[in-house]
Amino acid sequence: MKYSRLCFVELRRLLRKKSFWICVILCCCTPLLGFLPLTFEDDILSNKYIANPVIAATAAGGIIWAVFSLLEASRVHRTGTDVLTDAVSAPALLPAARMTAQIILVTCTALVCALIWMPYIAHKMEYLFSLKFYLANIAVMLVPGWWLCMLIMESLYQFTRKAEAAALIFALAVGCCFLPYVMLNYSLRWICPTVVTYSDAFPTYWPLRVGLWARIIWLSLGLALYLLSLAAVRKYQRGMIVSFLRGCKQVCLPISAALLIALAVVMGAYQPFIDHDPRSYLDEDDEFFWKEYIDQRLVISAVNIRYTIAPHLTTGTVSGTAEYDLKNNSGYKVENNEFSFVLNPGYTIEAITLDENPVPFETLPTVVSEQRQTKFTLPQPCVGHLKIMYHGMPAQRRSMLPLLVMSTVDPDYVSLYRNSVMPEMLNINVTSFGADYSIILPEDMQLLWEYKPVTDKEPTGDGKNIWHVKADSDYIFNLQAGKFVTRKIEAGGVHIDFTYGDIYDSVVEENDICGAVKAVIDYCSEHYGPLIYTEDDTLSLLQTSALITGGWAFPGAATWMENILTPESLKDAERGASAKEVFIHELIHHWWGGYGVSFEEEEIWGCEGMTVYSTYRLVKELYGEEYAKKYYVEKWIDEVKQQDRNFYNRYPAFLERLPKAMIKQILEDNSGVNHYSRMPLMLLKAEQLLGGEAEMDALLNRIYKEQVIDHLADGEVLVDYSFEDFLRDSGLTEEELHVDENFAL
Amino acid sequence: MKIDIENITMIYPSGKKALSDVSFHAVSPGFIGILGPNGAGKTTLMKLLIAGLIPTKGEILLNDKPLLPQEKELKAQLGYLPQSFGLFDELKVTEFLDYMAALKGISGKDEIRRVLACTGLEEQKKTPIRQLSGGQRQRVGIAQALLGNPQLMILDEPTVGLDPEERVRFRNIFSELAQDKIVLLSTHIIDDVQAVCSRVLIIDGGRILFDGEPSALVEKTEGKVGVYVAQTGDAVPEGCHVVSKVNVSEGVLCRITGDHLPDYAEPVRPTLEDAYLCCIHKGART
Ligand SMILES: Nc1ncnc2c1ncn2[C@@H]1O[C@H](COP(=O)(O)OP(=O)(O)OP(=O)(O)O)[C@@H](O)[C@H]1O
Ligand SMILES: [Mg+2]
Ligand SMILES: [Zn+2]
Repeated sequence: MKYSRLCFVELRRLLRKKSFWICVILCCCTPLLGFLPLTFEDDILSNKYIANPVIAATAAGGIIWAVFSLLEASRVHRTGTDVLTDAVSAPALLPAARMTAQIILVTCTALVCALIWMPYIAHKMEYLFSLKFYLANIAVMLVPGWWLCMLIMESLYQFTRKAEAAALIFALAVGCCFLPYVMLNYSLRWICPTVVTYSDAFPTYWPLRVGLWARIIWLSLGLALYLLSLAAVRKYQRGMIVSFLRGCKQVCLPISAALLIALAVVMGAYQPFIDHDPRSYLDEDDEFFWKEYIDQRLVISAVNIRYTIAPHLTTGTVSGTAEYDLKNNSGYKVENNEFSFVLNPGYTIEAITLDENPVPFETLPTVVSEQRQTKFTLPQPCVGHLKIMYHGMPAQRRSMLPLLVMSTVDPDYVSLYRNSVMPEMLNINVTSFGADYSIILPEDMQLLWEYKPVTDKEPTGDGKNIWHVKADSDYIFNLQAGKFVTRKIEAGGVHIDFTYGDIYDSVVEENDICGAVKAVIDYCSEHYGPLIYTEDDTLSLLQTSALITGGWAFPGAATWMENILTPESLKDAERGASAKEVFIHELIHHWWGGYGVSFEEEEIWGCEGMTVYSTYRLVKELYGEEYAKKYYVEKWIDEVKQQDRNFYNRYPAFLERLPKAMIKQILEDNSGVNHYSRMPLMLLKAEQLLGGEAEMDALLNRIYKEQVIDHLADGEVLVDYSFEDFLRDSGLTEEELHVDENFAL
Repeated sequence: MKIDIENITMIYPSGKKALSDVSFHAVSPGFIGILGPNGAGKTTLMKLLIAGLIPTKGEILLNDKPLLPQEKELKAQLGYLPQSFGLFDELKVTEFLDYMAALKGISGKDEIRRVLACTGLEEQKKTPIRQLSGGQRQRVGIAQALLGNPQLMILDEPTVGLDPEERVRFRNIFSELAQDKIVLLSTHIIDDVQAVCSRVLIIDGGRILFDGEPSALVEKTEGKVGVYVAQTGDAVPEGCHVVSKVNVSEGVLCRITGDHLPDYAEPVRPTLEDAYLCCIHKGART
């Protein structure tokens, strides 16, 4: 009662302060920092409009509030109000009430700040804005960050009782957050957890879930530090140590601090998201780690293999069952009836049975590359129906975080890899046999198996579907599920499954993206050849989450990134005059490579120019010569002209004298012009020199078949085809291909 | 309420001995004035009484029990006006008092109204503290000490900065308060003590030189104060101290104290001030 009234009067007092309101205004401006060019460019709007401003506001606002609380805490001693207040109450009472009041106030400020920025962010993100995700970011990143900064700063002041010392230590602690080592250790950056990327299309709460875990750890530590510092509040005009020892006699303070620290330690040591493999990098020998089993003769074989995978979307966990019929066809007797399998360490084995009878098993602690060994002993002759049941949260490789998120189970999206969900037998022969998979998912989710939509499903009656997949091998590479829409498109003699997140449905409709797909596949198949990923006349074109890094193409499937369909990307004039043309451009990249790669700075030759030129040719076919000339050729000439006339390009000696940032900007602009304008123009000149479009198409067809395909087949993203290669293949010279503003069609 | 101070010695961490072997006892009701020169140890003694310091040696008893374990009880019935203090400038007078009331766990607007009236701050109650004059700030300090009608009032030079009219008004207020509680008041204004205190403590150099009724102190000095007219250049008689010098037509009228007055000095009735100075000087000699 008394404490809440104290908090209330403190609150009222703080509200009377001008400095408080200045801090509120400053904090409401801090998201601006996230929009400065300091932050790396990003075409995922959730990164650009949520992650960047929220992280900037968290750090900058945190520092502002830390300074505010330092001034507040030190002021009572500077002005001597403590003489009055300490005489009538316990000296630690008022600081505690003040902290409570401050926490209430900064929480309100965070909400106000979030509301102020929401219209702008929602306007910019258009159809990709999710209020839930935005508020989750405010709640996980911003609010605890501000709390933490105040707690730490005030603790430091209470310990040192010197504002300068507290500020200095705090500044060092903030500085630590920017050490490369800390930046990459996702939970060490206390001021704000690291976010490598979000996804617009497939709301992935993974970074937030991990962030929340880190937040709880750091808040526990911050609160513990604060409670201990309350014990160190000076009494009887004594020094820190005497006061602290005396303060600790109020046992609830050190005990709660110890409990909080214990909580933080336990949470830090048992993070469910990571595999706890102590090694920091991938080890070449990992594959051979279980080598004692490699040379063993496999006596028992498994057939009729069935896996059941049931993701639990709210908890982020998975239940799995693996079933095998064990046979002995080897002609040998089982000598050692102890068998082993490895499974992701995030799981607990619930039971192992043979013909419904439990068998003893033991899970070993060692973790190697997201795998942990379980041994089980079967009764002789070790044949029958083996069933393994397990449950848990798939753990990621610690050393890869936060850069790679291999698996995620979220309310609206699931992505799982072999290593994150399947047991692998070590000394039972399971190779060369197929397996049946049953995946249990909510009704509104579509299953994708190895980047292809699955059709075989069966409702369970309780709002779920069981999806059936029959795989030829025991090897599963990737499983995704989410709110996907699949459109069937017939083009270039191929059946295409064009799949994307349902959030884009209206954009796909409005901009005739399906028409773009058909046009590209028809045109490129005819002029260069079918997309090499096509398999048995089918092709899956799948939009993937920004969290999934890795290759763009798989047997029968090519992926395209979610960022193509953001409102900003579709308006990108560099790549095309309309949204449809932007999409055409991106899809053509699948023929020329360089998909999703930002180009080298100086290199003019590359995948980009070929793609732009092909886009121009296709657009010319679709919309006529006038249109293509106006939006492509004339735009190229214009940009080349401007580049050549630029003062610094004409007199490079002056360029060197500019500030570094400006030099970088000019070089980047040049590179962009070279890729998007100069090179397509050179290709256009080559077309004229060679005698026309037909001759050019023949050359490109040859280049594609003889040079590019091999690279693509090797899975190379950036096709290594140089300017010299082109000169050689076309028989033209560098001088002939030179273009300037006098270029004419 | 009963306070016993037993053989207190206070040595600050810096090594400064501020009080040595001080003892005294107080029961309510009682109005004790503490007198002593600068640096005598008055504030130190008061800080010990409010549990703001821990004595190096000796013991303080509140109602016959050690003080420190009863800190909470003490604070609940304490009104303290420190010698120097700060106020929350951003607050208005009433808000500040409400703040202090919350801290003391006292509720009620009536109580705030009462202390405002008591300290003559009604007109300023809506004024932000930063706009108050020095004397008005001092009155806010007194007002917060009065909040909750505490049983123990410790006032360290409360009348500093007050105009004479207010000073007189306040000392009457304090004396009314002392009718049912213990009021401890330190001051350099001897008139205040003379007018209202039932008991006076004289401290110097960390020791109590006198503890008793003001009249007893005066009595002790009977026959030790005299006046004579001196000519410029005359030396002060040995063993005597000049209390005051007034220029008159015949020369300088000197008032002196001393155990043995010279013959030419004419004894007069001592005042409390004479008695205090006499006491201090004697203390300094021993
Ligand atoms: N915190 C401290 N550390 C060290 N010495 C101190 C401290 N506070 C006071 N002193 C010393 O203790 C002695 C007594 O000081 P105290 O403040 O009690 O005097 P006082 O009687 O209140 O004087 P005044 O009339 O000037 O207020 C002084 O000599 C002072 O220098
Ligand atoms: Mg003093
Ligand atoms: Zn491109």
